[in-house]
Amino acid sequence: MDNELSAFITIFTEFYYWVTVVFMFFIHVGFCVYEVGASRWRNHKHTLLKNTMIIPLVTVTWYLFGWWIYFAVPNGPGITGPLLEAGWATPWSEFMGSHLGGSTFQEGLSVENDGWWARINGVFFAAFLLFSWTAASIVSGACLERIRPSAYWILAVCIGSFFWVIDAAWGWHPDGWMVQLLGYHDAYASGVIHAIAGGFALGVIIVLGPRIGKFRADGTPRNINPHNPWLVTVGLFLIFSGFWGFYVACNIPMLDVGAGDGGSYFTATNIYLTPTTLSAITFNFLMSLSGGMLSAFIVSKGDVLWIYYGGLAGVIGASAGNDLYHPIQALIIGMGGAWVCYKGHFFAERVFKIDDPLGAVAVHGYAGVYGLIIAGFMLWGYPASMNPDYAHVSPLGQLAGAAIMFGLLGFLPGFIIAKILSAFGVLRVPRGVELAGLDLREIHVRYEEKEELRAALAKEPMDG
Amino acid sequence: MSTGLENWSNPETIGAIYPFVGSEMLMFGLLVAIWLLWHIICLVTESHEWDGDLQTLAGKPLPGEEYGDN
Repeated sequence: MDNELSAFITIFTEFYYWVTVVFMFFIHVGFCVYEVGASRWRNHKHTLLKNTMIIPLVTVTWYLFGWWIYFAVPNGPGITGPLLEAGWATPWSEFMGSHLGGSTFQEGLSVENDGWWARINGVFFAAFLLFSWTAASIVSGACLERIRPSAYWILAVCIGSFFWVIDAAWGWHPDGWMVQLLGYHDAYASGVIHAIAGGFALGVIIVLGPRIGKFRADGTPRNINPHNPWLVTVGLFLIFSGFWGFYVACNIPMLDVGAGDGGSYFTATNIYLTPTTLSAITFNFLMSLSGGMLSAFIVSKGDVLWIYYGGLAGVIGASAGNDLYHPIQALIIGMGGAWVCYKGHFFAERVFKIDDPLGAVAVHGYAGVYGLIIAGFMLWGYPASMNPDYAHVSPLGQLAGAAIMFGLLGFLPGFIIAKILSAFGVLRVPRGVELAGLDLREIHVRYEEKEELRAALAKEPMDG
Repeated sequence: MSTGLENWSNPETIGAIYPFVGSEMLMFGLLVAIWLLWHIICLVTESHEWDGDLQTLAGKPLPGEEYGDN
């Protein structure tokens, strides 16, 4: 902060991330609104409660361990190196509080090496935290109307403050082992956020089972429509709005990446510290969104809700390479993302009896995996990092990355933790309560429906 | 005194500006306890809530009935 250029870069970076956090808050507002619009009236308050409490729980645990994990485990540890020191990110660090960076008193921290973090830590922490809320919220939608909130909150902490950040350290860090060895490239988080959260959600809902009434006795699915398509629309548009902040937060706004002759070259970079521009990602965000919507219109025969989902799937499908694609490439890839999402959703529902009420597994999981694999072919041979010794992007590296994100760090932990919660009998709400509605206690059953309710309940076991 | 900060001159030498500098580990322990206790309280109270709902549904008056506010 002792000269105008360094002070400008530092304060601009602080402000930049702060703005992205405000934008990304819209994602969470959108998820709340969207889920309430999609749930049935008897479950509204619990649906809101479930999603709202992500905010404090993931924030607290992100402070306790999530933020530190990102900096500590890029090497595995044990794959390309040991556990790393990250003194600015431990929850007891002086840099995890109000700090001007002029002096330090804790062992292992110095103004020279770590002073920058005194200024940047909170906003950078928050930008990553908002990604964490998003990862947890994606899972929330898949568990709609049948999971116990307390069980969901344990799962939310696991995905939001633990598993996704391990994958971020491995594949979304300039020195992550997946970047070093696989040439893994996922600039706007097709896999790092979306595939992992989709995989985790799939693992959970396989254990959780479908909502009562979702499938007929012969196994054919019923379409449980959202009770309020207008709220769903507003919610999804808020998510689109927040997605802008998400994209921008994935960049470093101003960094000297060095010119070839040893001089300076200031630019925006992606998370791997390779140069990009806000213009590039703005082109590609819009075109992949458009591609997804166009394709979803055709494949869903004009179902407007699937057009929104398709827009998201289009962006998610192109996100891995949206720092580098041409906008028309992004559009075509986005079209494929929406197609994979729609077809994958109904295939899984029909064949495997998967009840994914909001298409979360499809929009985030299937489109995310598709995005990683496509990027492997489209960006085959690109350097994945500024470090010339690291691997280049390849189809095999991206395929391995997709398996790690969706399968190893997503599906597997989701399935195992849900199994444990189920074994303790705390995963799913009792059957009678699910039939009557999770908000029974709060909103009271309406008198005119009392006999109807009792008649329905008489046919069902009341012991949960 | 909750902090060693006595004035704002020479800001380039100022580090931590929160009160009770040096108590970070204690605050960390407190936050862990708050977090874990919250989950435990939540699991227990929620189980009671579901049990109560099941009893209600098993034949007792439905919520609100006894108050005539249906």
